[in-house]
Amino acid sequence: MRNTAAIMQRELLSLFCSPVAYIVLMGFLIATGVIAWVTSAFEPGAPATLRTVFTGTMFVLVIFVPAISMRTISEEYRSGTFESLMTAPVSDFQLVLGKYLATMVFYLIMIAGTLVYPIMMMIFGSPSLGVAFSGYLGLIAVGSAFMAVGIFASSLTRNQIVAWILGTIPLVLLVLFGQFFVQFFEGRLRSFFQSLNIVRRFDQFNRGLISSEDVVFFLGVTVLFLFLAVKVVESRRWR
Amino acid sequence: MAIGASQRRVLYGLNVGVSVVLATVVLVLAVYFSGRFRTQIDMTGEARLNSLSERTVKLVSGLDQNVTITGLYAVLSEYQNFAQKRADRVRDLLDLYESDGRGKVTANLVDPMKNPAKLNDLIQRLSAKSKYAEEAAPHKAALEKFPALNDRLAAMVSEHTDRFAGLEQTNPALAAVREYNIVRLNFDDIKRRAQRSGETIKNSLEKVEIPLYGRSVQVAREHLTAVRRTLAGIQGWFAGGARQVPNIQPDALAFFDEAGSAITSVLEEVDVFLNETQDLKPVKIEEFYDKLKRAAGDAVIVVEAENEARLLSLNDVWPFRTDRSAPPAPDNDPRDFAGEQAISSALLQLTRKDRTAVVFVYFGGLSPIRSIPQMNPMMQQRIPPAPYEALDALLKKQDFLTEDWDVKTTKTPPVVEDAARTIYVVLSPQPPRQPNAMMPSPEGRITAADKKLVTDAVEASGLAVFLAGWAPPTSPMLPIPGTYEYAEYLRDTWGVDVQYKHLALEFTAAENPDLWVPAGRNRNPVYIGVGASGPIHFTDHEITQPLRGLRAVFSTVAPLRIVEGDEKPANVTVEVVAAVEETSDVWAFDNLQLVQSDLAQKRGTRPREGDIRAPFPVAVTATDESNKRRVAIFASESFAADAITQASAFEMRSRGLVMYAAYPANSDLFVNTLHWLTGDADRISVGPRRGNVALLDGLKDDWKVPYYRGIMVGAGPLLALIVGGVVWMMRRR
Repeated sequence: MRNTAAIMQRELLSLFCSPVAYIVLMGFLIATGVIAWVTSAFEPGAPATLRTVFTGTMFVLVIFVPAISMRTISEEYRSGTFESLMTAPVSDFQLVLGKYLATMVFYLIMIAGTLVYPIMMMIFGSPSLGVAFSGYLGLIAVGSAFMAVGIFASSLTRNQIVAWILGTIPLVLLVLFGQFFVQFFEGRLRSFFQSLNIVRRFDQFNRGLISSEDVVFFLGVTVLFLFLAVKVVESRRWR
Repeated sequence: MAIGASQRRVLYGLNVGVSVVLATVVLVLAVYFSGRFRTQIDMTGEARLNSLSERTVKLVSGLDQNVTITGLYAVLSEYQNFAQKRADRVRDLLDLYESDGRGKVTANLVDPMKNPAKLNDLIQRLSAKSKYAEEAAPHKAALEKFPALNDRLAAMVSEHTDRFAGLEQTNPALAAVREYNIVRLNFDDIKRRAQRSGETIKNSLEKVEIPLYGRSVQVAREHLTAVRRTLAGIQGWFAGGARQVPNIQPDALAFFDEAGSAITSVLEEVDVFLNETQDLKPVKIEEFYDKLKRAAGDAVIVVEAENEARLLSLNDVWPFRTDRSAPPAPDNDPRDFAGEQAISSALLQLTRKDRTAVVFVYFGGLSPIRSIPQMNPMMQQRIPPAPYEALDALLKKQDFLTEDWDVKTTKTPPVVEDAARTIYVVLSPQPPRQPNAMMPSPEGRITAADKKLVTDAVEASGLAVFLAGWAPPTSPMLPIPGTYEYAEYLRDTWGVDVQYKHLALEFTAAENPDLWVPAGRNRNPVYIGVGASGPIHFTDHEITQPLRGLRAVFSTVAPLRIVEGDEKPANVTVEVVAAVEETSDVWAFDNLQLVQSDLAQKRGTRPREGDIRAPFPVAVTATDESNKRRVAIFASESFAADAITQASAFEMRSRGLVMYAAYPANSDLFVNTLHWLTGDADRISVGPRRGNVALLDGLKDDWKVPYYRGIMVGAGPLLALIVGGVVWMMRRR
């Protein structure tokens, strides 16, 4: 645990000392702010809900989360520090987990920047705090799964841009195609595609429904991709 | 044994591959089982906007066929009132149905304006359903004969029209004859009509998404009926009046004869067509088609089972608010959301195999559910409509089969086809209303034999609703109480004593001390309200659980008494559905004359010895556990009558005069009772949900709004920029 914490601390420090982190943070907040503006979420007399903002935010995360995670492992490959990490008394699992936790902390700070929206809404209306909480929980769940995919992508290459592309493409496919395919099927096949439909799963959180199925799905995806990342890192030892 | 580097890679690679596959399988299983044994938390609080009722979950998870639910909600513009909110609510609801349907339910929300192709797909899908596919076959067969008939008609008319000019030359007097000119005009008109009808029918069959055979038959019939009438008139004139025209020539007479016989021949064919098509009913799928095409600007939900479908209108899904006591919606939406109730009801109708007959039992007089048509509009005294006519329509909508049984004239209970069971709604043997003065007054009281017919029928079916209540005195002048003929049966068999001699009223303090006057509820002292507006309350009975908070009223109430001790019938369990709460303001008296006299002389009355003081039940159910028979007994004969269930009232609100149902729970109470009797608790109304959306009503439309928006968009990024800049500066040092 101490090793994981050390890796996490080191990763966080390197993240916050890099201008990329602030550019990503700024870009993300501008993007969500624009979404809040164009969806008229903050109009006089509009419903006091962040639902449309959060739905748009989920699509934004497809681009921004891999941007946070792209450097986590690929940077170690590129800078040559990976070999010294391999010789350090840190397991592959601790390495990946430490990096994941660090990026998640950064991610949480990033979405904390959007708390200004519910605060503004509370000033001018009475939004359902339960629903807002559920929406944030959904953002964390989705972000966690996306981050794990991004870390897995980062573990595959030493080039950060390639890592970003490798992280973004499957997320775009998952987000868009899950929804796209669903409309062509009925019955069991539709159920299957619905179970892969991340937008729908996130929307459940977004409207105030926390379901064990969705929590397990996002947690499962997180664990699976972190597991894959561990296996990829591990493979460096025997390849 | 040492292994080489490549073998090691293969071995390790295989190991990784297997562990990855295993991890994926574990994930899939975890998601699958978490779906099967799902638990969820609805963060919308008491509104529970994200949860289906247990009954609906049970219904959709137990479906034995695939069901498709399509919401057609167009949002024409952001300025369209409530459209977006309604579409969102319906989308969420459909999503819940799909989630709980576990592969049996496919749910979609379609904007028909943006996606007309999907609307057309839906229409095609509906028309292919077995129930509708064959429905139009007779219409189609009839229409195959129409073009030839119409052509023949047009040809006959054209041929004779062409000869009119020559006829006028040899018979100049004809041109001055009015009837002759009308005939000419009519011939022209028929020619035009034939052409127009032919084109209309062709368009209805070929240029729309589905051939509209029913509509085409209707057009053809209207056309031919009009033609028939016109040609018959012309034929009559040719045979009579035309021959009286002065100086008429033989060629004209020959023309009239020949034209007359041509018309006869065509009319024979027209009659055949009209006879063949007179019993053809409108085609259901075309009704759907009309409504769906209209849905482009409206909102409907289509619930499809494998063989048939139901269309739910905006009013079904978003009925107007009925609860006057509830605060207005923040967005002033005058409608509540009853989507779950409407969809689940449609699902039950579509998937349910057996239906229930509801037989209204009465003794003499007119049918309580079917009005007699007003034959002579000049009659000064109108025949009043049947007292339960609207209730009858509601029951049919709920998929019940309804029938009436006049015990006085028919000595066997009616047999309702397609009904798996029968519920008898037993009205007081007094005719439920006095017939028109022009009709003979019903005579005689119900005999013991007739009563036995009714009770035997009830015993045989095991399901009944008794609408009892106060029996008015037989004479307005003398204190001779009336009788409730089934009182003995209900007491001995079901353990419920209807105290029909007592009339319960709600009183209020009079000007004179220690005296009370009847509290007029809507100026009608015999109405006793339910809930916040009155002293009657619904209990926690399955029938009334969804009705709490809704207004209801009972009129001319007689107290009920649940028989206890030795008199209590064995194996019978009586449960109270509604009761007058403990209050000094309600009592039931048996001497109307005394109370009337008190009110007239002392301007107030007080309870006397022998009066029945609150609390007492006014509606109960009784179950015979030994043979699962069930009855419901209401101590108000007219609580479900249209006069009460259809009553509406007005109220002035900020957005104007609002009309609302005065007693919205009365009809639901009756319908829920029927569902409870049949054991279909699943069908008991879940009631509309309010689930108001909170608005940013504190944000005023003024110059500050752009600044607030600026804070939303700019504050976060600016902070990130500043922190990033500071870090960058510090690191540079």
